Amino acid sequence: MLKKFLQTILFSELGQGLKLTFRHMFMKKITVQYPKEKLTLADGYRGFIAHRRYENGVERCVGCDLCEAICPAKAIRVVSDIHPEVPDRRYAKEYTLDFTRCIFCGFCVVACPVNALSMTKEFAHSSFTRNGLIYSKEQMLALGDRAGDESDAYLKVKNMWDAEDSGKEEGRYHFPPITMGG
Amino acid sequence: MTKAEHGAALEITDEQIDQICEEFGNREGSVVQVLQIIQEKYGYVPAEVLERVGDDLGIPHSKMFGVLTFYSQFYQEPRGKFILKVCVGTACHVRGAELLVDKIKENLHIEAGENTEDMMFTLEPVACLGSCALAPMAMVNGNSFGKLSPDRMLEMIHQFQEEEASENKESVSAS
Amino acid sequence: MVKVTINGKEVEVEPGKTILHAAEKAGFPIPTFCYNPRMDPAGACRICAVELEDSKRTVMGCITAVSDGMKVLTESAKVHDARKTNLELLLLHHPLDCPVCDCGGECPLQNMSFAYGAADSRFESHRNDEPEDMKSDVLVFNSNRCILCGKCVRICDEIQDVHAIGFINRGFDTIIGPPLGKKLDCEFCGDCLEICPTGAITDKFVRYQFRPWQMEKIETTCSSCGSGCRMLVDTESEAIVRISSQEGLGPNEGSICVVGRFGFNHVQNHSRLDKPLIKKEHRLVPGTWSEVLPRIADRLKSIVSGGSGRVAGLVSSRTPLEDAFLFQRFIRQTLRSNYIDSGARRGMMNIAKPLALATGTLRPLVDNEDIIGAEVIVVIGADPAVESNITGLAIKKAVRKNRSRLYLVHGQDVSVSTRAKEVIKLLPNSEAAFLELLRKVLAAGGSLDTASKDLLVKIGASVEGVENLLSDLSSSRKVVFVTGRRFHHSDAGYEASEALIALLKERGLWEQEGSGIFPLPELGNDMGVLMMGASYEWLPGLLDSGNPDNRKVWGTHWGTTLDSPGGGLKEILAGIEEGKIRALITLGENPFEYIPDSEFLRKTLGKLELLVVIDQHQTEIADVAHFLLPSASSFERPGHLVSAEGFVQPTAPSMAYWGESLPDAEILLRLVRQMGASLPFENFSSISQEIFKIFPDLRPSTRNGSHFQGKTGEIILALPTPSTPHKALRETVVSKIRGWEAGVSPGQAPKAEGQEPSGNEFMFQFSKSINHSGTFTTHDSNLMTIEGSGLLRVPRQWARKMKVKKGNCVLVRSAHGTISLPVDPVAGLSDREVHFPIHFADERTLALFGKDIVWNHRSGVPSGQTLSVTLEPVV
Repeated sequence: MLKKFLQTILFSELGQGLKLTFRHMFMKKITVQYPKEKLTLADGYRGFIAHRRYENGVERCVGCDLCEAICPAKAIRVVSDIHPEVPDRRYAKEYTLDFTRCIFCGFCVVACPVNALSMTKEFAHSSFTRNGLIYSKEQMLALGDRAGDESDAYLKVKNMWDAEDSGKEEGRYHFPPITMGG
Repeated sequence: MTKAEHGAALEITDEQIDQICEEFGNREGSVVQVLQIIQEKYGYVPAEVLERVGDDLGIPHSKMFGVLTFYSQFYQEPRGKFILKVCVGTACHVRGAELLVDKIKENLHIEAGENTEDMMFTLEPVACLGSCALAPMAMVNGNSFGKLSPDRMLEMIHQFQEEEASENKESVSAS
Repeated sequence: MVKVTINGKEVEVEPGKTILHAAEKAGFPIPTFCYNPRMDPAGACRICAVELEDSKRTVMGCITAVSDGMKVLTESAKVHDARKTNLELLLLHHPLDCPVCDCGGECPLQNMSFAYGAADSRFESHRNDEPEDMKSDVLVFNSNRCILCGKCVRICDEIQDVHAIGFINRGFDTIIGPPLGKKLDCEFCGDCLEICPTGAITDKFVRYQFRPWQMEKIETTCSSCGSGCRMLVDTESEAIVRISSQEGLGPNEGSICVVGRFGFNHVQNHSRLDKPLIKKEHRLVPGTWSEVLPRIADRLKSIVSGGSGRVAGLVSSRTPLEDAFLFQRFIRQTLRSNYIDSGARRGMMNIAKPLALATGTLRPLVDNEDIIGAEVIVVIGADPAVESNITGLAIKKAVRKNRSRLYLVHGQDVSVSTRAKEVIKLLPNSEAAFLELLRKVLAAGGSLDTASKDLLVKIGASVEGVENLLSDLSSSRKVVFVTGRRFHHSDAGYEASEALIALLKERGLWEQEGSGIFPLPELGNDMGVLMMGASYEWLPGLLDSGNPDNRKVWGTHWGTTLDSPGGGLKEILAGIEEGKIRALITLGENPFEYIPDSEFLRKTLGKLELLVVIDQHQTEIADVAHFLLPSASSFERPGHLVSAEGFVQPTAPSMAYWGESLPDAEILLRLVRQMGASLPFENFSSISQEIFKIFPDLRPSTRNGSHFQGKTGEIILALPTPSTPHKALRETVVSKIRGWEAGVSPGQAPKAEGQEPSGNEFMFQFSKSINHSGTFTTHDSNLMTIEGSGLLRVPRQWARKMKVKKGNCVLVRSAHGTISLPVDPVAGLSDREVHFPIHFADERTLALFGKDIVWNHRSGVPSGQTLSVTLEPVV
């Protein structure tokens, strides 16, 4: 009874609480001053989606529409056609990804049979209009060019990296074997 | 088999084809025989002749072409005067048939199935000629040559070339 | 019946049927690649393996006939293993480039691999990597993806009888393609494309442009010819991507011809009218509907207020029932005139009128099924495969399956000739004389006398062939006569039809089930347009408009009095000349296409106070038009079409209206409202309902309307579906025809009689090309790729003699002019005839015919599309 009375008049609980506060004043800060400082992101980080190229600079996308088919948010639209210069090649005449709709689930990257898509560590894209976040193929290729090895790293860490596909264009139509069923 | 008369210079007219087909009663079933006769005359079956035979026998061109390409005995391209059929079957293979083929390729600068530029020789590796006891063996225009060696092969080729040259000379002097 | 147990379920099937049929009946569909119910089974793909329970053996379901007490397992572990192994082997060299393959997503091989997990193969081998055969303009052959099921080769041989592709080489190297490494040269029906279970044959026109799952499939009826083919329009965001079919669907059972399959681009061509145009200061300038319609209405009102019979109307034969019905009612009731003519009248009246007078109906007594079952088929003046592809297929099937005896009476070899027992070559316009001769000879016992033989020689027919025909005609009870364009358009077409009807009457064939006349309409709805009364002589329901009682019937129904007499194109042109007819409304019809004297036509139409042209494209008639209104195509508007077989089938809108275009009916209804008049139709469907109410027999009907589709996307069997009767009732026709007598003796002698053309003299004739339909397909980029210009078809022997090659020009000289035309030497053409495709007939070509328009004096339609010319190679 006396103990409780003393605790009440001496605000010992307040002291206990403040103890933690004061202790943290002397500990290492974990808050990051975001625009000035940045966190190191993991290789599997699901940032903006980029288009990738082969080593010789040819875009990988074959316009197969599988990313469009799998996209749960219906954010992707692909219009495929014959390549104007190479008649037997399929390519995406138009490719738009609406990042206002995208939920960054990464399904499109999984669906891509030629590893043309990858997620990057870029996440900070802002725009004053919605249209500004609807990316064309060219913008996505630029994202990929900026990302460089990061896009490879994403595929590697997600077990989608095909060791045989060393980035050569010749392997273009030789799709990796599809494993399904049993 | 008689020695085939060769050379694309030999002309077969449409009427001759009609006649050949008629000998077989223009029956659909005689297509292989008709093509064999034509090949014997021509050395190969040219496209126009094939179409004509099809029209005569009432067989669509697509079917005619199917028959022609199905049998390896028919050729669509002109062939050399001497057809070097080198056996590469099992028995000949183990006795060094590959060496014979390589020797021919090397000396005549042709690949398997090709003609020399002067239309003298055609190289044709075949699976078996049925004379395994004579391995390695080759057959040139129906004549068999057994127990060959690369050098003997080369000798034979030179011999054919000389024969041909002297024949040409004779025909020139005769005329 | 044989009792078979399938997976423990007992079914009874007819002996001779296969396990596949039995399993189908028991409700256990078996997957197939190479099987097709329309063709002989091949047993090539080995995917239909089933297990026989007693012997523990696996056999192929599609080629094994059932036997009594057979016990079959279709889904056992053994079967599953066998199928999986087969698939693994099929996929051994298959490139697995599904992501870039146009077949991906609708590929039976893909589906099956998914179902059996066979893409993960135990075997290792190289993947095929041969270049694709891109030589053809239409199809791409990719031998890598081919599984050699042979369906494409078989459909080309068995169904189409074209033999354009075949197996090449042997063993692993076998590929499929056209012979001799040439460019594909065929009818381009695209059936092989449709039937291919992999991406080995793909469509070059839409290569890489689509994915099956992005498209919506809309079932509709093709309006290009009278076959009434049901097809699927694949659309993406209301634009047509391609046209496909489905095995077993419709009267066509899944086959469509080149025009149906590839001829859809003209409706999305930028040359199409997208705005109403008004003539202002001799130029057509774009306007709006709200601007155009009041002006037309005002002018029409003022013209009509001056009296009846001042307005005329022309309507196209592609117009659906509803639009045709509304159009004639608009002209007859609102505009109080009976001057109505149509493309259908021009195309078919020569046979339609005698048939209607004799039988009381336009519906045929026979259909394609009867053709298949006929003992004797006489194709006279028709090219079935070109004019009505499905009838062509039926004829080919009849000869192949039922050994029907086929006689072809025409001026040239057509695609069914190879299966004909006799090809009788007639000079143009001698059909009437020929049929009259047949009739007389058959009545006299069936043997030819000297005079008849002389006449036959004169008209170019082979006496021997006719003798065979006569003996077959006198001994057979199931005889179908197929008539077509050449017959209907011949100078004495009306008389020829009468002779034909009389022949059937005298032979007692009208009473005979399975016998009759089967006219091939020229365009999609010829019969329907005539049934709807879009011609001056007929009120709706084929009632003679000259009869006051008939006028009263419809007048009372519509609450008006109907004006008579009116007239067809001949009277309309005369009326305009006189100044009596002041206004003309044309609905997709262009007289410049067939009236040779374009100058006269331009002058005459120039006298009109009002010329309203409702069309999809700007044609020659636009030069003299005051208003040019854009109309919606058959891919955009609803409607019903009557096929040659008598089916009434709907067209479904599959794309958005092009620009500001509107359906014909909508334009007319708006015009009526604008005029302050009233017709009791709110919208389109109220017109349909009115038609179905007045004519209960015109309710929609079809064959193979719904059909079974297997799990894997592959068809298994087509099931017969009940449908409303489409044929005419034989009893009523028979009772009617007893009282019929031919109007005049049809023995009109042919023009060319006694005239022995020598050397370079030919009969010039317009014919239909297989790759086009009417003139609008000349706006179609796909079909123009296949056939881009009009080539004068000349006999090959003549071309060889004159050393003229394909594409070389010859001078064509007639009594009225000379033009130069490129030629196409063809085999099988009668050596006295040259043909030119009507689709490419322009003013210059028509000018060969001079200024006189020959009108058939019985039916009043322009004929005389034949004249004698001399050809001269251009050096």
